[in-house]
Amino acid sequence: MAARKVSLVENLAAAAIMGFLSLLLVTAILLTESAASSRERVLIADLAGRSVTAKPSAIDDPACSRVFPLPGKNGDEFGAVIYMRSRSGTGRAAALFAGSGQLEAIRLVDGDSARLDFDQGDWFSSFLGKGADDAYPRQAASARDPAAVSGASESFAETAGILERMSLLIRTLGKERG
Amino acid sequence: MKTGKDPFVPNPILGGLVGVFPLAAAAYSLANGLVLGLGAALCSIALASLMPALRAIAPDRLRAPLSLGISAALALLYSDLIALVAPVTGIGLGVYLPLLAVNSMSMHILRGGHTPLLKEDSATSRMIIVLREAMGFFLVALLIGAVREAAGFGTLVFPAVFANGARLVLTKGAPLLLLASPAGGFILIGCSVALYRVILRKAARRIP
Repeated sequence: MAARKVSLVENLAAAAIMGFLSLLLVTAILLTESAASSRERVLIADLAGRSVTAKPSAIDDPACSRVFPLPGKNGDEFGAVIYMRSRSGTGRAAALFAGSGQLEAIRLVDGDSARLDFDQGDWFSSFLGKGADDAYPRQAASARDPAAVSGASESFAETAGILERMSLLIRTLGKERG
Repeated sequence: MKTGKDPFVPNPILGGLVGVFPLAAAAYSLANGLVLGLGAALCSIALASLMPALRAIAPDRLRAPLSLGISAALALLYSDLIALVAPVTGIGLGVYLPLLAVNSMSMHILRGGHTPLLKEDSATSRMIIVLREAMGFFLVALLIGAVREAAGFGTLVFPAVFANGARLVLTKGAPLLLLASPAGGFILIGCSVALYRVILRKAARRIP
């Protein structure tokens, strides 16, 4: 009986330690999420040229975790910071979409410049104005040709895929907001 | 006078082959080497500091799961911090940051190290050894990242947090792109291990 009591106390102590660790983690995650959200707000405000005050909507996408609505006279716009990752590089960009899902502006914030993929050239010009009824340019098919395969073509196709998903998400959000 | 039989703390990567896989796979740049090396070093120091308290509180049967729980919490806290401070590096390292929880360096600390010195009872001497191992891990990870970036991409990009993102272009193009790939990482680490052992042999020292 005494051994069972000791065992129970030990188990409770272990559970308390794990509970404390969980609390610590949840607090840290909330703090970092809040700080990340504030930083993204600043990046989008900088791109849009106006302040972003509305509460962000959480979205479930590996490239982006929140979208900031920017109410305007000509309908809502939406801003998001997207994370692009391919086998040959990583990058982060601030993007501004119309309520129809059309990409209005996009700017590379920072990239894994050791690999240069997202840093080189006028990367995003092919994507501007796309979305809504216009499909994003895809290079996945042409990348199957051995002559066309490169880190850059893979990154381009990856970015097109992310923007296409974002466009669809924002169209849905735009419809929900009326 | 030091002899080959004197116990000493070998470098965990070069002498103990600890944490070789994540370094070969993900430490292809100075920034990645720094983040991975710093993470493994900080997590191992924190684990080593918490272990005596855990030994006093928890019975043997609960020590392993609790140690792993603490290790996971530390690795997640570090990943969160990196996601905030250097988001692009964090995204690039992907799963290797949370995997610091089961990194060989953490496991090495959890099981009490492999050097005979670690069997000493003094908590202070244990902590000094852990600090030396952590520092050794960090420096070698940093060096491997820097060499792979310099040889693989011809650049050295200093992390924005530490040097305002300064970028040093050493050569145009990629002189030895193979070194930036995981295969090249293993080749570089293998050569470094061989060199380390030659140096130890010349100094008449043997890895315990």
